[in-house]
Amino acid sequence: MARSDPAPACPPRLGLPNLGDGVGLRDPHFTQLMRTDPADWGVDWFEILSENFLDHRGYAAHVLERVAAHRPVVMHGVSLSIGSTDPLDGGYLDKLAELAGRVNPVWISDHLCWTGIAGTNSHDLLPMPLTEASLAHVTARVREVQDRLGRPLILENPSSYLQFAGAQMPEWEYLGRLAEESGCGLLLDVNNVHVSAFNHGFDAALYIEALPAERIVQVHLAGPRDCGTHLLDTHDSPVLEPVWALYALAMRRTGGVSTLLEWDSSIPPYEELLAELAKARAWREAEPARA
Amino acid sequence: MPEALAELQRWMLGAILGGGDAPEAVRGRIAGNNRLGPEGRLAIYAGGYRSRLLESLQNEYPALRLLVGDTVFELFARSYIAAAPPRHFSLYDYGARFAGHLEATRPADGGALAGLPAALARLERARAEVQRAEGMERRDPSWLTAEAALLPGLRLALPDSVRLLRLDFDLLPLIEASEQGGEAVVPEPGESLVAVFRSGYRVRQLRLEPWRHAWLEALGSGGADAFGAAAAAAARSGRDGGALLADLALWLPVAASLGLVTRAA
Repeated sequence: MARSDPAPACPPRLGLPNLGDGVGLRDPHFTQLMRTDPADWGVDWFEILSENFLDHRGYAAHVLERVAAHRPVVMHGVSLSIGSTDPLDGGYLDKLAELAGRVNPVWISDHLCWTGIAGTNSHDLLPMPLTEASLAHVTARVREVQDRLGRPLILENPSSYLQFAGAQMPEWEYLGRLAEESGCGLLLDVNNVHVSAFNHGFDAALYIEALPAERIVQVHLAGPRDCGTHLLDTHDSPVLEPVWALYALAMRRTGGVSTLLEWDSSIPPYEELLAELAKARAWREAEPARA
Repeated sequence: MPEALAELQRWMLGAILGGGDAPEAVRGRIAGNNRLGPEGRLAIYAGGYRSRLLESLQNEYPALRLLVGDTVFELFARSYIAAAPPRHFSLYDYGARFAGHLEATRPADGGALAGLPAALARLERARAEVQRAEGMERRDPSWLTAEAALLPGLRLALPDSVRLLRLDFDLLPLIEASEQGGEAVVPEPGESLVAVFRSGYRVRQLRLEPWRHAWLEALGSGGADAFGAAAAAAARSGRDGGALLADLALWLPVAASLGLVTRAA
C-alpha cells in the first residue's frame, strides 16, 4: 500500500541542501586525503562517525579539520539511544554540541534504536517495539534533543534481525509518523531496508513508497553479508543490485537527496570506494529510462 | 517513561549479556518465521555484542594479542566482557579498565611472567590515550629557547599527550614487533621507566633514565618549577643536584622538541 502523499507540511529535505555524493571519512584514507589536493578528492561531501571524533585531539581531528575546511561535513552518531527508557545522556549531547561547534555540520543524524538501559551500553543498534507507546516515547525524546541541539535531528532506519511480538504498525508507518509528529528528518538507508525486508519478509519497495518523501534528507548505501538464514548489515562489500534499484526508487520519490556510501570493514582503497560511489550517478541517470 | 517498554528493554539487554534466555521467554516476546526462529534472532544480537567488544579490544591491544596469541587473547577478552559490560557511550572508553582486570585476575602462582599481560595492556592503553590527546603539534617548536631554558622561575608541565609508566618488563621491543608485523619476543622481567608521547601525530615511547623519569614525574600535568622538580628528581634518583641540573640543561631542549614538556599554564 503506497502512501497517499498529502500536501507536504514541510519543504523537500526539510529545506536542507542536496549535498551530492559523499563517503564516510575513515582512517585508512586519512593519508591520501592529507596528501592530495582537495580538488582531487572525488566526492562532494563527507560523513563522519561522531563518536570517532568526540574528545579526539590527535591526527584524526587534524584530518577532520582539513576536510571540513574544504567540504561539507555531516555528523552521524550511533550512541544517542533515542529509544531507550534511560534518561538522555546530557554528557553525550554536550559533547555532540561541542563537536558540532568545531565541525559546523550541515546536519546531525543518528538511528531509530536504543543502545542500552540502566547505564549499560550494548554498543549495538537495538530494535524498537513498534507500538503506540514506544512511538510517543521516542517522539518526545526527539523533540527534547532537537531543542537541545537547536536543529532538526535526522534519524536512520536501522537494519534489524528481530521484531517484537505485539507490533501495532509496520516500521515505515512508525518512522513516517515519528518524522511528522516530532519534526525530525529521515536518513533512509536503502541497504537497511533491503536487509530488514529479507530478514522479516516484507516488501522493500513498499517501505520506501510509504515514507513521507519530503522528510527524507539523506540516503545511505552499503553492502551486507549473506548469512544464509539472514542478511547482516556489515558495510564490508559492494552495494547489491536490488539495493541499487531501491536507491533509484528513493531518488525518484524524493527528487534527489544527499547520497552517502558507507564502508566500515574490509575498507577498500580510496579509488575503489570512489568507483563504487560513481555507480550512484549511473543509477540516477538511468532512472528516467527505467521509470 | 512507558513501563512496558522499560521492562522489554531490561529483558532484552539481560538476554544479550547473558547469551540468551529460556525458549518460552524468548518466544513470548520475539516473532520468528520459518527461516529463523525467535531464539536464532536474539542470538544474532548476543553474538554481535561479544564480537564488537572483542574486536574493539583486539584493535586497542595488538601487542598483547601478538604476545599471547589469538586464543589466549580471546580468553582474556571474554573474561573482561563478562565481568565488565560497557557503561559509557564511547567504545574507546571500554578498554580503559582492561589492564586492571588482567591484573586482578592474574594467577597467584604464575611466576615472574604472571604480571606481563597487565603490564603490556597498561602500556598499550597509554598509547591509545596519547593518540587521542591534545598534543604539541600546533605549538611553535622553538617555544623553549636556549636562553629561557632553566632560567629561575621557569614553570613546566607534562602535555596531555604524555604518559609516564613504571613497568616490570622491557616491553618496547614487543611494541616495535607489533607495529612492524614482526614476531613476538617474550620480554625479560626488570624495571623499565617509559614515557609514551606524541611527536608529529605519531605515538612513540622512550626508555628514560631514572632521573629523567623522576623529573618529568615531579613536573606532573599541573606543572612545577623546573628547578624544584630537579631537586626532587635528584633526591629520588640519588644523584647529585648540580650534576643533574647540568644534564637537564642539555636534555631539556631535546625533551621540548619531542613534546615531552610544555610551559605550565
